[in-house]
Amino acid sequence: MIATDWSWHPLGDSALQFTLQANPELPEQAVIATVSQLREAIAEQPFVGYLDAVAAFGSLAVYFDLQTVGSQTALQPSEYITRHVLRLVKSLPFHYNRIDREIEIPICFDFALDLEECSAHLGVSPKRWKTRFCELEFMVGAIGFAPGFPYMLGLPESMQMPRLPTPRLRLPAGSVAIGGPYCGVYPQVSPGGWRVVGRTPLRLFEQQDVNSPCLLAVGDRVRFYPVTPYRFERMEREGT
Amino acid sequence: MIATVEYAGLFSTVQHFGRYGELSGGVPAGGVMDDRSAAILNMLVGNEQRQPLVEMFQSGVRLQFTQTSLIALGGAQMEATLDGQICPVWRPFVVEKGSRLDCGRCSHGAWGYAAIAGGVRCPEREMTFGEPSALIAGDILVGGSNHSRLTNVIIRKLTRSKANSDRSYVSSENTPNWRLAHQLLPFSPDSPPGRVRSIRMIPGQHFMQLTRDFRRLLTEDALRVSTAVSRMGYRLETELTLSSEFPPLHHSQPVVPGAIQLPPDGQPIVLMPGCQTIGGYPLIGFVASVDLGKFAQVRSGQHIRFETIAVEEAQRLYAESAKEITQLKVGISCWATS
Repeated sequence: MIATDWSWHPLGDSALQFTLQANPELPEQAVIATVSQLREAIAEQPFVGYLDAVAAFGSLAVYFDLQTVGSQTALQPSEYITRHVLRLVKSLPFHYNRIDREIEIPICFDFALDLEECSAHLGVSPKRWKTRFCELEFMVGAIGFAPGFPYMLGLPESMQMPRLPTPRLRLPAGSVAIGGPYCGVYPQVSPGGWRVVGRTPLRLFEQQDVNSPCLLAVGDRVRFYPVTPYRFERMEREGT
Repeated sequence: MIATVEYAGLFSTVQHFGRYGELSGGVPAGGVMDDRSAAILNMLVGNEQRQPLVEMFQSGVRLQFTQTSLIALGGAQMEATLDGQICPVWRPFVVEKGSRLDCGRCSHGAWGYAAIAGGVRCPEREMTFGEPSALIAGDILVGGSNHSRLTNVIIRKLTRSKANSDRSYVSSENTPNWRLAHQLLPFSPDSPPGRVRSIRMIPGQHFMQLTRDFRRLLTEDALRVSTAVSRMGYRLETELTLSSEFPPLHHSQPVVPGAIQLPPDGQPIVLMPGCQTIGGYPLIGFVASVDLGKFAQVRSGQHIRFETIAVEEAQRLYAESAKEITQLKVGISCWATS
């Protein structure tokens, strides 16, 4: 990886945002994977004063403690952090490697609320729509909105749906939904304006798991596979 | 156990100074709204700068103390009483076992704080991730850690003067013979509550793409804090309705506390410490960290204006502010040991 592909600008006085643009040689999926690799590299080799880093699509925000950084270096904070990060950029593999993490998520379509509209929009039967959906490969582009909520890319344009004019006030945890170019899963009970196409028994955010509460990470590839309501209930009970 | 919450007020929490490590999982860092006031109050009771303390929104908690404790109140101006008598603010004082502290209403500013020596925890309301939930009546506050040496010295000093006095405990004799300099506090006693506050901001990527009229609007007194305020963000209102000229962002981007978002309706939102981790609106600027606490104290309906500064200047001002707080700590140690 070379440093010239990256641009950066301050995100206020306590964070810096590094951006990698998509281009013909670097498609969006490769950008997301690379940004995610850089996030991991910084978390593994942090500078003094590092707090956290967030990857979202082509951007990486690096958060730092201004007081600690200030006592650490005579350089301007932005200069000090940019030097460190660009050194790590050079250590990233030059050619984009697909990351290995591939996650399969069970989905029960019996809990769908908007499957009729979605299949009518595509002009196919609901059965055909479900088959098409399970053939797709998604990539997690960002996690946000709520703890553990993934914004997944990979929905073909023909299957994209506008958001609901008025969000629903309460969606059950595990609701799988599509909105605009994204597919997402609501990890907690929450209001939501996306079209609900099913529900997963999988827990995307485990409050009790202090070390890795979040099932998905930016850059992960995701596929859905159908399960019956019976299997859904069994999986939910067993917590697997 | 330090105290029982008898009345929890509108929205009170035991607040920390931000927890990092899970932002990438969409978990907000959270933390105190007015970090400078909170850090100063911690200094006053001999705590480390970033120990958890009680944060109160607009109306304060009533606590029944079950353990004699050294505390300090401040942030917003509060009408606090201890067993019915007016108690000092921005000064450490000892609350005796069995006493009842009523923090009262915030008359000037929005967020009040009570720092307790050794730090404080509320085991029932603690969260592993994200924002701590609001205190409720009946909650029990327990000590965070052991008293520091400085705390013990301050307590000895204050209780010694008590022994010399026949008067009720909360009197001028039993609080320190000094006051904090006005410039350290979010409000000086002589500043009128309606005064327009100037908040320093760092222009964002999209700032120069704003129309000149909109830029002028931001730097004049035409911005008002709306009633939509929370730990996540403050919505601002403008007299003029200027629609935003930006198309929405292609994808959401990481955001930070202090970021000023511009949604399509043209009414800016300033993100606060409890904010989400990514957002889809253009960012027109960032409130300088040194002024975010001051901004948090602006109440609904009050006016503000933004003053643009360079990011290096914002960082320099923050370093200066941090130095003042360190000096305060030195000053308090000198007084306590003299």
